[in-house]
Amino acid sequence: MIRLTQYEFAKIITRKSVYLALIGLLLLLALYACFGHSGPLNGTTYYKPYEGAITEEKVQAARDQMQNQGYSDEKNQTRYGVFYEISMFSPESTKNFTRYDDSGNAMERTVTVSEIHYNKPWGYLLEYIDQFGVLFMMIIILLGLAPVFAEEYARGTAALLRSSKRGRSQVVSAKLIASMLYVVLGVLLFTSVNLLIYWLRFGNLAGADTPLQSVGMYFQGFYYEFSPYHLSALQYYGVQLVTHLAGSLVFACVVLCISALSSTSFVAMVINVAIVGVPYLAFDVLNFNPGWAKWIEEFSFSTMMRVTRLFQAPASYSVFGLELSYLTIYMIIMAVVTIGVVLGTYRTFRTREVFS
Amino acid sequence: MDNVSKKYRNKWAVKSFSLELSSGGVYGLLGPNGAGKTTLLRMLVDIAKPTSGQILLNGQPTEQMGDRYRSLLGYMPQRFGFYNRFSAHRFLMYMCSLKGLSVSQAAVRVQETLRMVDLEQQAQHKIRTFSGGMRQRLGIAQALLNDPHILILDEPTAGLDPKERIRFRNIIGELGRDRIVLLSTHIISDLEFSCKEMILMNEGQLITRNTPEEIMNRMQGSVWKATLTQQQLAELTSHFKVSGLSYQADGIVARILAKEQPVPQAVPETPRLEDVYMHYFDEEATS
Repeated sequence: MIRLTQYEFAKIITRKSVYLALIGLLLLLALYACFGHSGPLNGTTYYKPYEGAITEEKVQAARDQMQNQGYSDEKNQTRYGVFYEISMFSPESTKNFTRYDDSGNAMERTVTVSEIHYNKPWGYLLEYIDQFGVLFMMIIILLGLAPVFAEEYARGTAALLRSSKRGRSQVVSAKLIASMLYVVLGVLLFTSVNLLIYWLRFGNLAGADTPLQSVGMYFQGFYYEFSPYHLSALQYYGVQLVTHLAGSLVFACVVLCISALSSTSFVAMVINVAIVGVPYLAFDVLNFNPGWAKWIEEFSFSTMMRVTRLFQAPASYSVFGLELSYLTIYMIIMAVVTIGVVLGTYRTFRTREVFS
Repeated sequence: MDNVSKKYRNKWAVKSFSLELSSGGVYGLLGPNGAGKTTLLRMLVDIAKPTSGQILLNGQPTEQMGDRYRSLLGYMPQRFGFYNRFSAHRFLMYMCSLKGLSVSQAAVRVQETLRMVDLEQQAQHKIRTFSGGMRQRLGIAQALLNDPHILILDEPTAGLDPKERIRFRNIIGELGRDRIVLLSTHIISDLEFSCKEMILMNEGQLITRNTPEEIMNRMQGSVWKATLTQQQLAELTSHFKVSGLSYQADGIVARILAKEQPVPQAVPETPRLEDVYMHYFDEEATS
């Protein structure tokens, strides 16, 4: 089985489109990290005087300085960031500012945010998975895995496989394991390159133990300020990575099942793009958001790969009288989908007849 | 094969086909295009399911045997592809792991089969650089890797040059001594020397099966040779099947299939397999 898995893995990674895409995406990542942001480089010194609990004096000082400071250059933007955060998380602001969930209920903070912390590197690291991670993994999974079964039929090797001793269940297991390995390596490669880039760019990864709620993404967006989870930036980064990986694996399983049902890689690719790419494009990229389609957005595959939404705010649903969190329901649905598509893949390849 | 049938949409590709094969000989499956040969072989190697009937090995349904049955098979499909990014050696090692051979067994068998098909020198070359004939030989090699008890070959000599074809026939003749070899082909000469029995099928059904000698014997007195003019030939072809023509200085020498002497100058000829093929399958000549 190990040898079979090695060969199946070799079949995936020796595909020219896969390594060309890998090189292109890594290059894009590096370019974006170095030139895309005008955000702060090591801002520890700017935050240092304000760290800890936000006092009325700090708030007043910050407001005064905000009015006096321009923020056109990088250095002043960093300072402005400090002042903005202090103003935003001052006890007065957090008390007056109310945010509403999808059902229109006022959200409550369960974790105090009235503290200032420097954790900019973690903001960018969390941002990566939310923004590029999902897109990169979709591309890599589609290019690498859509042909896994379909190409055997299109190329005319399915007859050789299926007439051999291990050409039914074991070859499917080998293909699944090789594909999972490919996904794990893809996620690890992208995240470690990203980690390295931001570590080099900031000169440190300061703020690892600060609360998730205080981490800002996309420069000054505090996406997790209402998150009910008591996690540090580092802990959440781990959770995000595991969830992103799990989402990518679920997506990979779906892609493989479609591949087993398709007669060409192109057909497999088109169907998979329609299943995953269309909701991603509509909801995440184009911000298309009509009420009737909300459930598609909430339970789409890209939501899991993107992770952010799952941990952003407290939300629960009543299922057969049982109160379950959005995260729990989402995970149950994904587990059921995964089991279904994996069994479907085995069954399809085992029973599908070869005509050519 | 016990009353095996296969239906695709509204067409019966194979209909009520029953046949028993035993070890120790090459069986030649002969039939025109669309006769159902490939479908029959696909059912035999368990990649297509019979619509009705069953295939048994020593009385046990092959469907129930699963992996055990497939471990006894060697199969070379009529049309198949390769992993072009693999070398010949790597491809065969991959096929060995699919066939359940251990690494040590695989290393030995890959060398043996590469030698058998004369691809030893090209073992490390990428398959994408191979010619059609080399690919065909590699296809034969993969079928032999697990030293199969049942070897099923669908048009294996297509694309081989005469020298390779002779080499292949010798290999098959040797292999056929202690196993079942079922060889589907259009090339009559593949069957002429090594075939224990010929199985003739058309329109999905078994027409006849027997030794080549017996099948040819049945045609004794039905094959004639005559030298004809163009006009005589034109007249003859509208009434009889013609299995061979040769243009000579004194006229056209024709091999004619007829129960009685077709023209006064015709002399009886010893039947050949080409005559058998023409007799059973050239439907156009009969109409």
